[in-house]
Amino acid sequence: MLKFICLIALSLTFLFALSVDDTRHLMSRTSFGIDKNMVKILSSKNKKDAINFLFKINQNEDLQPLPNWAENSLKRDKPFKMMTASEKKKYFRELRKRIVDLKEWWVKSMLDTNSPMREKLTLFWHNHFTSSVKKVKSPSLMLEQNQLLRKYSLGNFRILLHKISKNPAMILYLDNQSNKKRKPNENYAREVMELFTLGEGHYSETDIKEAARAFSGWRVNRKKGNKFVFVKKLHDFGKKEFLGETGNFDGDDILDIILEKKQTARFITTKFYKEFINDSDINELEIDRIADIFYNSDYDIKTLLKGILLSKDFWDTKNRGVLVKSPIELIVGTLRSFDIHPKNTKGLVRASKNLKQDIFNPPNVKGWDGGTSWLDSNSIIFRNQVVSRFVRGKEMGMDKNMMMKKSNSIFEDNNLNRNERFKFMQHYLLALTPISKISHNDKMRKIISEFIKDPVYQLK
Amino acid sequence: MLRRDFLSYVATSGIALSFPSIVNANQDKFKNKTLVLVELKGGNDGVNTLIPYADPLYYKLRPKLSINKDKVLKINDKFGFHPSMKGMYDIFKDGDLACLQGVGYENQNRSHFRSIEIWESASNPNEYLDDGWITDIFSKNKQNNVLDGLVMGKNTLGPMFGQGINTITIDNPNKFIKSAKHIKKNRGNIKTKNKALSFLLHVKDEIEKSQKIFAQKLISESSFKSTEFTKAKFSQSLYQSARIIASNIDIPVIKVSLGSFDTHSNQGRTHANLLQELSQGLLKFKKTLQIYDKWKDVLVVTYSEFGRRVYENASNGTDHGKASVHFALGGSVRGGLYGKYPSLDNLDNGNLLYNLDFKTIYNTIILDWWKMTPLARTKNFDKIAKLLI
Repeated sequence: MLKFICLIALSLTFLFALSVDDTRHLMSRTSFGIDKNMVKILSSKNKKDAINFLFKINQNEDLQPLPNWAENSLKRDKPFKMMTASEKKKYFRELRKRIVDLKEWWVKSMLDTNSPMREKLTLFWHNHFTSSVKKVKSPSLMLEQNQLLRKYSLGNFRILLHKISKNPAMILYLDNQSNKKRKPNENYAREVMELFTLGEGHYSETDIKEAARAFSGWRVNRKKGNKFVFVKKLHDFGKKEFLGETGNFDGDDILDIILEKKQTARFITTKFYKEFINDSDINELEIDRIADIFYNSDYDIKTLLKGILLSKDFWDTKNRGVLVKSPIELIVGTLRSFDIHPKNTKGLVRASKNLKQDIFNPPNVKGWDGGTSWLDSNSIIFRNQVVSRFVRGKEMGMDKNMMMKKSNSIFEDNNLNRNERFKFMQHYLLALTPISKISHNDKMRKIISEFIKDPVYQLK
Repeated sequence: MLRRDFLSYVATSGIALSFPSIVNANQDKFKNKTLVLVELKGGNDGVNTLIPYADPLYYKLRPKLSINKDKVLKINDKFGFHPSMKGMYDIFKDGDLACLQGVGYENQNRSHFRSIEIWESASNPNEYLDDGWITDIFSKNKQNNVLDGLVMGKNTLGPMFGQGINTITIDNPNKFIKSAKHIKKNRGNIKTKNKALSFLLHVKDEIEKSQKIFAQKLISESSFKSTEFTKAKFSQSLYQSARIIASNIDIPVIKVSLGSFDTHSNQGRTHANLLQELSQGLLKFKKTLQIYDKWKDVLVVTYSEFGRRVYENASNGTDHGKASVHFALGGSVRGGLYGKYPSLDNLDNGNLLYNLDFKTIYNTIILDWWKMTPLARTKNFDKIAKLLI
């Protein structure tokens, strides 16, 4: 009987409208910080409607104009060996400039977009299907990959997996360019199973060898626009045995066999659980339940994300404020929360890099570990400096005291008294009660400053 | 399958340090001794590091990547160092460098992430442990020091991951002293079930305590007598480490890293540059520590997730392998060759066979360097007898 009552109570909570706290929680987990307009819009919706609303407004991509070099790889009219020192210098200077452009473009897009959930998911997939501009050495190919991830970010994982496996930047990053029938290169085969789909322990070293054979000949045509090309004479057309099946498999067949395994759905669902709900306290049963739904939807990502966001675990108070904000979330999230949109994002890109998140450059194929790995003595000191600079304004492309100036517009209801304003701002910014003692009687500018500098502001 | 996660540190440990600790038999073992762990990130190619120049198979299997016999820095009639390793060659001639040949482990894993976890936690290949082997030592042997370990540069905790150890990660001690001053002190003893919050508060606590010690004791750069280090990151890590050791800031374990050694393509120049940086950095490190009479109190040990395959691949590089050579150096090291060089014609599917389990190195450190009681996870292994004086 008690269980029945609890069940009713729990489902009833889904009928109630979102509080400021709930809105902040939902937004900071699925976006970057909180958008002040959302407080009003979502305050009239219950959880289910709020989630559907977010999916609706994130249907389209909303990006900054692409850099002017987007369509063209940086060309060389002669091989490196034949370049003079000054020609080489010129080439590398342009390459570095493009890499900077690329990072600034994405951060600006994240800052200004009206589809922040789509950008957040794109960043998630960038950290899943990793590639780095440092190894790929082509900003235009990295941009192309970024566009691919964005297109399918809330689409279908089956399609995304197939397309990313033929993506030029990915082929170069995981050395499939060197994967030939006579001398197979196992890197892509290993990582696609270990990190992108099944996870370790669900395949053997032999499976890796066989899969590598199937991926042989999938290359990038360096001479013709860096497009994907299937080079038959380098492909191993022979019979392969993979995950218990036999056939003359090619790469697409391998991917389909992998997707056929429920473990793939489970692995991805687990990653979503850790990203959106809790990264150290995992509810295996809930993951199983959602993974089934994901698998049965034939890998529809929206379905998966909805399953996560509608889960009681997502809204449970014990899972609030337990995730560490990534550097991008801290930086972009703080600015968005105050509706601040600097024109120049150079300083922001640099700050994120110093906090260990250099976008387009994950440290290795496993990506950024996230969670408490963002925190060490170095980064905590620097996070403190970053938020202090935000409060002061006048750096990182902001005007002096911009945050304070913008804070007034956060209170859409100007009839709140002092205590109500305090409470509102606390729930607007923080997932947990602040550690420091902050007086309700201080000026709002001081209160905001204290909230942002409090350790709990680092969590979401 | 659970990967280890960074579990929270329950606030009590930090507070316990301010009370006189219960006399611990192992406490003083760490005093005035520094273990410097050098992580060669990505899997160092041992075959081109300690080169079997007299073996014709070496040239046969590596037509492009093999080093010319005349260029090898020969240490005997069979083996020699890569030509870029002049610094380590000099240390070897001084008798302070030991080559540990054929280091690996049973059923060696060739995935970067999994294998480095195994090295860092000293686990079996199918075990997933919650902490690093260094953490295990220090969580069981509480010291009076503020810090048990230091990570130089923007690198992972590695063998110091997990609960129960006091560590700090810093880029540059000068900057650290200055900027750490602004971190607000934690008020009181906050107990929380929130692991992320707990961890955050613990690190803040360590920052505050370390800042005090560094500010008090660290020798200024202008008065620090050192040989000239290059500006490269790795060398600078060693420079700062030497400075910290010379200042008598007692930190038992320091970790530095160099990479990436993951040379799947165009290995030649990349590997040469890395070995050059490694070598001359270590030579300068030794010389500086000798000025302060600390060389005999420092033990440097390299490690890496795996070696690389003997056959070169089609991109002028090598792929993930198994056994590799590693090095131990210091004023208390008995230089020379230990273990056996893996045979090039008796391979494990193209990979070198190991003969020295890496846990024997750890055991040697535990039993002969720190002279401590053995660790559960390594006690069933031998040690390298006579490695340390």
